[in-house]
Amino acid sequence: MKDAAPQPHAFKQLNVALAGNPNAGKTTLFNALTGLNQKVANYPGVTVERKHGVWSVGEKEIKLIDLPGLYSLEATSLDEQIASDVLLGKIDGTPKPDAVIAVVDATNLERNLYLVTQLFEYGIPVVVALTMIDVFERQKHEIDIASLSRLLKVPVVAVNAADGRGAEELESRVEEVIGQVQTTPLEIDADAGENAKIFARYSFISDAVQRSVKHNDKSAHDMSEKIDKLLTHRFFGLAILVGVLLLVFQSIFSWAEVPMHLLEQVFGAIGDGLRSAMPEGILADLLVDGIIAGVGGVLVFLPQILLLFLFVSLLEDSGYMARAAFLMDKLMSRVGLHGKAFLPLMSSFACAIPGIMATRTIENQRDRFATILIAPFMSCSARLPVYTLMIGAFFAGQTVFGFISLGALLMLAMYSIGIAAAIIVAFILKHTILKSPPPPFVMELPPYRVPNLRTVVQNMITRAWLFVKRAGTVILAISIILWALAYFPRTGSSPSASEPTAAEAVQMQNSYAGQLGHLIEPVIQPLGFDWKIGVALIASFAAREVLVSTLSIIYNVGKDENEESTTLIAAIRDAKDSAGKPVWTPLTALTLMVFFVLAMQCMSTLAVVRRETNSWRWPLFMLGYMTCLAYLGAFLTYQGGKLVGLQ
Amino acid sequence: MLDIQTLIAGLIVLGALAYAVTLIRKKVRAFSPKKSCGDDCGCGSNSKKAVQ
Repeated sequence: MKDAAPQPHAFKQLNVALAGNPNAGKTTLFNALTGLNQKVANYPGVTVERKHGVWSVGEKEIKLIDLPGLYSLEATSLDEQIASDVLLGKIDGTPKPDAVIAVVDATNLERNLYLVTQLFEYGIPVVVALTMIDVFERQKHEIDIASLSRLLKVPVVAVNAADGRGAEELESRVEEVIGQVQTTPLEIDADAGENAKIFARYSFISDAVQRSVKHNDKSAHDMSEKIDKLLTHRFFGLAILVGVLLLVFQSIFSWAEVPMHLLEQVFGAIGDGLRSAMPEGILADLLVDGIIAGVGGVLVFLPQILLLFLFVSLLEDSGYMARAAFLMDKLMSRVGLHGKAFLPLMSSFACAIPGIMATRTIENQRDRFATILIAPFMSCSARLPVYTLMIGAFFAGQTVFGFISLGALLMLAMYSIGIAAAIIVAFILKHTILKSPPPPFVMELPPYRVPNLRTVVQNMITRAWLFVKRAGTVILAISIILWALAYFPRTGSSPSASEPTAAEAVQMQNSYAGQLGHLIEPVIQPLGFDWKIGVALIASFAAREVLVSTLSIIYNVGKDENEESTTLIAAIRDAKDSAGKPVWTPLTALTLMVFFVLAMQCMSTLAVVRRETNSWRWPLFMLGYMTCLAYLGAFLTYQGGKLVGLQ
Repeated sequence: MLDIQTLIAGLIVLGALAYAVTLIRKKVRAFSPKKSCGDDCGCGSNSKKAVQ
């Protein structure tokens, strides 16, 4: 009621921020408190922008803000700046938080508490949430939480997002501190220099930790160091990395085979069922040759996408990915690339967009731009259907040394070509237009841990959902448009009973898509591509996996109507040109794969580069140089292959 | 005269075209930096200093 006395905070939206060092577990806690599913992984720098969620505390609904990790309030990179600005209330439209949950990694208290001591000085009410407490306890350390709380003069709560430990206590502690003015337990002379202040903070932390923590066990640390020595060894580490990747690719191929085949049969049956249930005509053609062929052709790769993200999540959450990053850093620094570049590049293996956004952790703009410009070379998951289609059609079932699948080797080769291209381009950029000295890089290696099942499954579901959503939206729309381009204008010569295939071929050649394909055919002919591949290349600029749906539509529209549905793999294997020669050969497939490794075939990535660089110059430069490089790479592969007698 | 099949197919194709146009417009708008950026759009003035 209007005349009622206002209750404190009753009318005001309460804001609580989660702040802490990178990889302290902020997003895991955020997900547990809000029920959301933001991306988490076991390495620093996963969150690069603030995220909001609603946290229900009693009857209140608190706006919970998840911030990028930061080591201190003196930000050195863009992501840290965002976090620091939110905490200090420097962002228009975002009020200073009413309280901060300082997320502190219990296994690394000294370093994590530094930020907390700074928060005290700014008067922000703080509750400390101790994460990784399960790991801490497994290492047989002991902590007196009450004592630490007394020394810090703030509530300290041990939390575990996995089993909900500490969630209720955290709620009540946050409710208690809201509205209070935070005092600092430190005695720092306001006129002291910055170094003196830093020294005072660390002295205070050291004293507090010594008085509240008993470190009992050293063996867990020793074991971790021994494993690190092996995994980051310049020779054995690299050999293990190659072995792990080969195993991943081999598993993706063999495990996905059965579910993929099943999905192919399901979509084939749906198409055949629709064809027989509907009267012949344009609508049946659109549904079967356009929608089912286009969307179904991409959706059959869902099992592989799920498996890819299962392995990526397992490697990330176990802490292995960070070791791989450390291993690659030596190579990165040699070409002048910032060591922090590897984590954004690693994210780009899933999708270049989060990878490009993750470059915000890089302080220097030239280093950041160099990383942005090479990120799309990392083979993203959208390339997986293209690689798999080509490998499935021409290299399936073949082995090297009797046990290594040729498909897995080729897949590894494609990923390696992308990395090699990125390193070479980075070297050129860093020695020409983006020249700057490489800064020193200290990377924090996260602890090894058993991957969290919830995190792994969540990552898989999130990526699979994105894939299905894309198939149901962008790919569906493009499939329909492409079908129309391949179906019209009608030539009027309906397929005769004696020569049905020839009539369909004439129709396809004269269609808008056919005309477009023939227009660019002279340019792509030196790469061994015909006009149909040309149409698919143009269409796949919207998204790489559209290549598969386009080929699926083209080969379905051009197919004899009396023919039963066959798989796309079979269709491209059997495709013949007007002279009766096969259009596709293993060499054509290899060339197309190389083209896709190097080409900038993604509209969304260009849009993100535009946003992150605040200019059209960089995305256009990226599109230009990557297209030229892709053409050159494909030309050398095809012509070189022919020279050495490959087919 | 248009039969019902052609009409439905035409509507589906038009719908797909409209969706594609809307999507492109939305993407361009969403990824264009606003006038008052510097928050978390990625083009903050702090990082620009490093290049000069």
